[in-house]
Amino acid sequence: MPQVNPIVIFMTVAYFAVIFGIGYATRKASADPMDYYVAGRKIGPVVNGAALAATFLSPASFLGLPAFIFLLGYPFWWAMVGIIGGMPLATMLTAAPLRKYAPVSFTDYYCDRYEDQKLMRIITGIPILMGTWAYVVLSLVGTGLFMMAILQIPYVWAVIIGAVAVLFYVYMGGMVATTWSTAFQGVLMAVAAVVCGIAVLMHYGGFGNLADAIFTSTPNFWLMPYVQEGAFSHPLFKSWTGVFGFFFVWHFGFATMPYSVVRFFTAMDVRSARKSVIWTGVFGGAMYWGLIIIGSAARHLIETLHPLMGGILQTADGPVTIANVTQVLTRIRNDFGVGGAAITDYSMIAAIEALNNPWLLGLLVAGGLAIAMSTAAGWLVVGNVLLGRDWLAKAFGNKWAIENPIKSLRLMTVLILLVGVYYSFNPLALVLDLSGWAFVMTVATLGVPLVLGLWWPRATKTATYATIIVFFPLVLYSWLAARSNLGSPHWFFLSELFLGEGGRISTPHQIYWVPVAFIFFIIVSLFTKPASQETITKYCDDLHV
Amino acid sequence: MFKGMKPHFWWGMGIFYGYVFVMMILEMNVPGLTYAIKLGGAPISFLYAHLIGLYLLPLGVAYLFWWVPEQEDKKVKGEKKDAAS
Repeated sequence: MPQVNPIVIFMTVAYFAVIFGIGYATRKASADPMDYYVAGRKIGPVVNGAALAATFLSPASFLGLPAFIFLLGYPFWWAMVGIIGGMPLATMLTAAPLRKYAPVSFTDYYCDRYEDQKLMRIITGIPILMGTWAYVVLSLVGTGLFMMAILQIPYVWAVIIGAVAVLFYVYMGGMVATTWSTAFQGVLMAVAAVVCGIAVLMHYGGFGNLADAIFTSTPNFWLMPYVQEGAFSHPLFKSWTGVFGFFFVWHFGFATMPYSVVRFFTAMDVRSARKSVIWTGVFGGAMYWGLIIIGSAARHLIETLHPLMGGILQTADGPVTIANVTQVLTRIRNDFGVGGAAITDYSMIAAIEALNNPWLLGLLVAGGLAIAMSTAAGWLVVGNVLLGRDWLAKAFGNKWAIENPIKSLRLMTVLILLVGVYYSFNPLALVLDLSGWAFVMTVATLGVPLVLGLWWPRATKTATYATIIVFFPLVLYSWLAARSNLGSPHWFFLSELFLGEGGRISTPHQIYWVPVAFIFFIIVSLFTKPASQETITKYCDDLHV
Repeated sequence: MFKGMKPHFWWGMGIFYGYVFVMMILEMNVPGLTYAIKLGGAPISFLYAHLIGLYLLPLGVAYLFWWVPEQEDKKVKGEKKDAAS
């Protein structure tokens, strides 16, 4: 691994100086709870769009997507098209109606639309809390990996330093600090990915040569299902279900995930909310453009240029000469004590390390820190509002939380971070796998009642409760069952029941639960009592803009 | 269900999903489409998936979803002005 480089350190210090400066400059925002919750609804479309991109796109994007392209090949490109293509979907489906409604927190809409102010907050809060856990963990893993690349320090210390930095600016100014600092981070991450992508292209001398190099190192990389008898880029892409499944895993998230939806609340007005989505696409799409290039080239770059190639790896059978990408990553894991599944996520950083340009690596790690910290901060705001305001104050009527709203949120921020830090020392899965599970779980349980609550007068409270209570454990169980019994959460968990031993059907992250939950919600709604006409008019019909 | 959703939403999503799924199905049926068929020396997938599918098309749809309501608002404002004068 390269030595600590002063240029990389300088760029990291500059990055931290800017975000801490923003946190300091916006510290007065925390005096007013409304500013703390939703930035006083003063945020314009460009800033909000950049902040949306940085919050919504996480280390799961910056590290996880290139790692998945590296592992799975070309068909995974379509998953990235699905993510960016899901952004405009949100404009009319949720962004404009929710901005018109202008709530304070994510659970407010469910409580008002389904006429239940207490139990609804608790039940809808359960999937949100699990999503917060998954995303804070994966963001801290990402922060830790980037800090490790910068400082060459053990992974555990890298995670702790990253967590302290996140705490500082969320603690200082809530949503205002996170909106402004996140907007800066949104621009930075897009610039970092595009510049690194262009550098990779220049290294190869263009798209054609890059494609040929990939073909040389991984001949099956470019294969879609069915085009070559008996061959595929990865067993998950042996059939069309893998391609379509991955396309949809993250597709509906921008319109329905709490951490992106709450940013629609901060927009100045409905027009601004709509325009924000265009800017999110500008920044997010540019970043993905660069990530596809880096992820596609990663294996070839590492195996031809990484300084650890040809070095020594200590194994149980004695020392061996490092000859491939797996051994490079194993050596890095051993050197820095990287826990759990996180090391594969390092492939993206290793690919840029291989180019041996400190300015490029400095830019990449600054962009990576930006995306990891912004997502952690975004989810911390969702989580602290849920625990401090929605649960403690609103649902349980806790006097201290009602009288000290800001202190309550800050206390919850610290608690969530502590739990997140603990789990990120030894993450249970790759960052993109944690993200995929959180997406499918949240869209199936909360996304369906949100979208249908906005667009279907017949949607009922009972259907909302039933959908959350049924699909939260189902998604969790099927995901874990597939992972432990079949070796990957991307296989249909009952594959062997239908196809016999060894049989596999590719259904990434058990994505089929989303349409099943949609149908389930409709059926239960049709057989149960709808909300009053006044509520339907106010929280459904009148929000259609 | 989805009563009140403006027609341009369905147009936009139809264009996006139509394009994506047609390209995916073509890729599964035309050997070499992703790599062997080239334009200016680069595999054509860099154009239809990497540039158009990933970037230009979603941006175009997002722009459409912003632009149409803007035009409708302008029209309504114009009509109100005319009525007032």
